[in-house]
Amino acid sequence: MKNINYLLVALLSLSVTPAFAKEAKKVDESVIEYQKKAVKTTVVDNKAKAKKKAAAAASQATEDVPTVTSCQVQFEAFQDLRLNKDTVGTNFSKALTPSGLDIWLNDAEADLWRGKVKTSSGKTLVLKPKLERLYTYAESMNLHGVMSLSVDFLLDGKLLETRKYRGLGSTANAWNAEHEYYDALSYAAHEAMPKVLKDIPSVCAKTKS
Amino acid sequence: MKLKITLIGLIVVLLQGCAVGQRTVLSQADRGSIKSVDLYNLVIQDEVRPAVDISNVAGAMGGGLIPALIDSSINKGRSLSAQDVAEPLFFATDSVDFRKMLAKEINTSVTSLYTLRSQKDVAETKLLSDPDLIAKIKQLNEGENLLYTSSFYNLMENSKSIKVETVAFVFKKSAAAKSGKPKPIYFNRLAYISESVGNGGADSIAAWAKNNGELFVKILSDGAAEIAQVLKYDLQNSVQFECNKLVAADIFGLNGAKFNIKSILVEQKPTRAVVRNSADGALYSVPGTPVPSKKLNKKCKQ
Repeated sequence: MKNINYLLVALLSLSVTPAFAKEAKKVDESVIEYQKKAVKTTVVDNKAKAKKKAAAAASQATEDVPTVTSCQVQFEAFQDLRLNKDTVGTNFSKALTPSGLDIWLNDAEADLWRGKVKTSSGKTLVLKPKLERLYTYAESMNLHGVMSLSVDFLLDGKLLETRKYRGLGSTANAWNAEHEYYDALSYAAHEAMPKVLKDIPSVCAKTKS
Repeated sequence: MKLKITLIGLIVVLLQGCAVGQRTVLSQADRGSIKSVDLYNLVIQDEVRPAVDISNVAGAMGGGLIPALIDSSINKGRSLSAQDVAEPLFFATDSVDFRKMLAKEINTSVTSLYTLRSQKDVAETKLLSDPDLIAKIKQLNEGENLLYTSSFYNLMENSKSIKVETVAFVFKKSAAAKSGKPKPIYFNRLAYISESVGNGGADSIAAWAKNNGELFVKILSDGAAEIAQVLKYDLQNSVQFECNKLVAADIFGLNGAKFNIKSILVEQKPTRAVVRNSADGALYSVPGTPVPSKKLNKKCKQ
């Protein structure tokens, strides 16, 4: 009896997907261009709503205030060190293989790092971010995105330390559309990347010695 | 009452960890006709999934949008907590490549039975869409069969144990001759459940993560090796159910909860046992010695 209940739940979850899949196909066709260009941090087909959502997620993740330090801070571009550079998951019917990841990461740095740090004159702390993991997965009625990064903090070309950060972003799986999976990745970035800013003052303090 | 799932319609879904369905036995005749194998060894996950107890309000209330949204909200919170708890393990194992571990083991197992078209030292990352799968079957050579496996690895039971699960299909060239979904000549689910480690939660995570994830890597490798061995066994076995004694074994259900199954003891090893679920033919490698049942094995048919 128990097994049949689990089976019914599985079938229920599965049955939701095919019914939406036909509608999702229409949505997917309309955003194919979006997919080809870049995985952006906001959704193309409803930018205002998505911006509000992203802002809410960011403010939930961390206090959205500039970080004041006595260093100058320089953010380098992401290095992609993922073991799997081919996919970010599946949407039940095929692999998710977005293009334009370098643009997406650049946009993420612009949104979440650059301009978020107030600095005075002082030594330049260089941050070298490395993307370790980036993927999405469906679980029950949700879509989750995971971003894992490590950051090398350097001063005068010398490595001070390396720190690691992770973030999980989630959204309800309403349409099983590809852009929903990419939304989950954006939310993950909004969770993971602001954590780096919080560490800058303490690392900067070490540069004074 | 047993629900019969139309296997063919769910192939792509089965390959993504929602596996249900009866084993399709690889018949003696089909076994004999396999001259070589094209292997598509898929691992969709980049990392282990943390242990989450999936909320089942929707199931308990007979479905519907509101219960489903309740589940969605509950599970979001639970997934976030699970990720936070497992964070030390993720940081300790960000260079661990399960795809390499599994490729090594499955290559070794399969090449002991068949000639492989090509050997890759890393498992595939891309789920094949239905058209891609059909195209792959169509390009098989005469006597060559496609062995398509898809594997998953999860922390279970409040992070105390690890489960590795593989669904495996074998297709022959003629499967794509007619229109519609291709029918496999073999299908089964194979799972490895590890021994329990720690007291659950952060305590177990700390044990897995210690020394750069040493124990985690060891257990994951053992899991990959065991799955490969169980697959090899099943590919050589045309018997529906073995004529061995019945035992009761603990496995994990779709929502992550442990439950007991009636199963047939396939092999008892020093520290673990391989059992076959007497309901659907799935094979499980479980720790320890399963409790013998007093009932006779009525499934025994030669």
